Amino acid sequence: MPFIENWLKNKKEAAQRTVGAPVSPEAREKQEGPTVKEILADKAQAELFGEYLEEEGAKGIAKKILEGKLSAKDLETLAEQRKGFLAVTERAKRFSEKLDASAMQELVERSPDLQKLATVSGKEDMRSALLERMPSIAIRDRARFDSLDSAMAAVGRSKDILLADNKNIEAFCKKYKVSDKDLEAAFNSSNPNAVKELALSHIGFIRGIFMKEENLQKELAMIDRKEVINQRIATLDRDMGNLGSAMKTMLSTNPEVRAALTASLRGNEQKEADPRGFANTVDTMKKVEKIKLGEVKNLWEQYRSGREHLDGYSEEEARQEFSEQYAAEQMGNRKRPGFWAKIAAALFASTVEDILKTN
Amino acid sequence: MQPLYEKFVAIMGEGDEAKAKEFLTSHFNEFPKKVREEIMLGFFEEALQDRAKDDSALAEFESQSVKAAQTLERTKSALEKGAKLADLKGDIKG
Repeated sequence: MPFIENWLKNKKEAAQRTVGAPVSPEAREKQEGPTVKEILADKAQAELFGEYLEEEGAKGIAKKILEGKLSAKDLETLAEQRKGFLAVTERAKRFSEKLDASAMQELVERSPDLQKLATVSGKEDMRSALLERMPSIAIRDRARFDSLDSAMAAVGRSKDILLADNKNIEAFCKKYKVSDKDLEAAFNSSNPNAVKELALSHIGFIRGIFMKEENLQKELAMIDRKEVINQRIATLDRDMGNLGSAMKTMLSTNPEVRAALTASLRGNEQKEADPRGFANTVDTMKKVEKIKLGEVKNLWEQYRSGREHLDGYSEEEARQEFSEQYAAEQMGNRKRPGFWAKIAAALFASTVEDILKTN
Repeated sequence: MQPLYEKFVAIMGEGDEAKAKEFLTSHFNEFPKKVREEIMLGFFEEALQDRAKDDSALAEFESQSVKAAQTLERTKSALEKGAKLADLKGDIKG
């Protein structure tokens, strides 16, 4: 039975990863953060700690906690696991702090998909659901959390750079008396693409300046006639006015302007052909279209009859675990599933779980 | 639940990603909690990654622009000095 064999193999491998270097009780006391006892006294924290222990292959200890049958060795292992647990939950907490209402608002404004969800679910409810889920993702799906965390950090870094540069641009525009007239004219234009075209032309102009400035210094060293120098100064004045006007576009918070600018700046990026893995998921689903009720029930009975791998699981947990494993098996168990594969697997697992509950 | 799964399979079978996405949002509240969370997380993840790339590209370009503006200003100032020097040379010759 490859399904149960695979499941047992995965559990065995996870158990082998459990390493618990002994820590003295004195040293434990000195460590910062809540103690094991404090973690276990908080229901939400205790559940997360349970998830963490399971992920680290220490499900047996989680069960012993519930039964109050911990040995001295178990306590040492728990103390060691606690450090890792606190580190992971701290990262999740830091991430959650960055996802405040205004950060969520900005993301919703820029994503048509989130906008649609916000109309049925509400922005704040969406944010709360994400915040609630984040510690579990940090524990259960570390690669996904790392990727979210580094994207959030990149947004923060860019924000700092943009804030500093925006001040420089504002000062430059003030000095050269640059107005918003180009942008205003584009917004008032009857041409529906005027804003986009202006943003693109400004990017093009600035890129031209980058190329020009490389030669300016060399050119400068070669001119000594006053008329030529004055001509160059006049050209530079025009360039600076135009540069100010082009840079001013970058200060715009208008979504249309920002979309045009970023589309142009990211234009040369290599785009994935199927970034959400839609085509692959369609192919997979064609192969597993119908959930075979009889087969699912038989497998579930076999799975349940091997009680030793269900130690510490409630009936509901076991059903959930079975459904998720079965769905993953049916859907091809990819290492890095895309958006559609995750949705399809979650819906498939929930459907199987529902069938098992009602039959 | 099963009919929703079957509808989802049927929509996916049509091979139209935009339509499948529309199905997710228009039936959002009918999905079980775990699936709703997965949909939300998936859209959030995509929006966040996209924003990170957009903002990084813009920040890098803005920084380059500011440096370019500073270079132009330095160049102008050097040219102005050059002009004064040319004036002086003219005075001496004259």
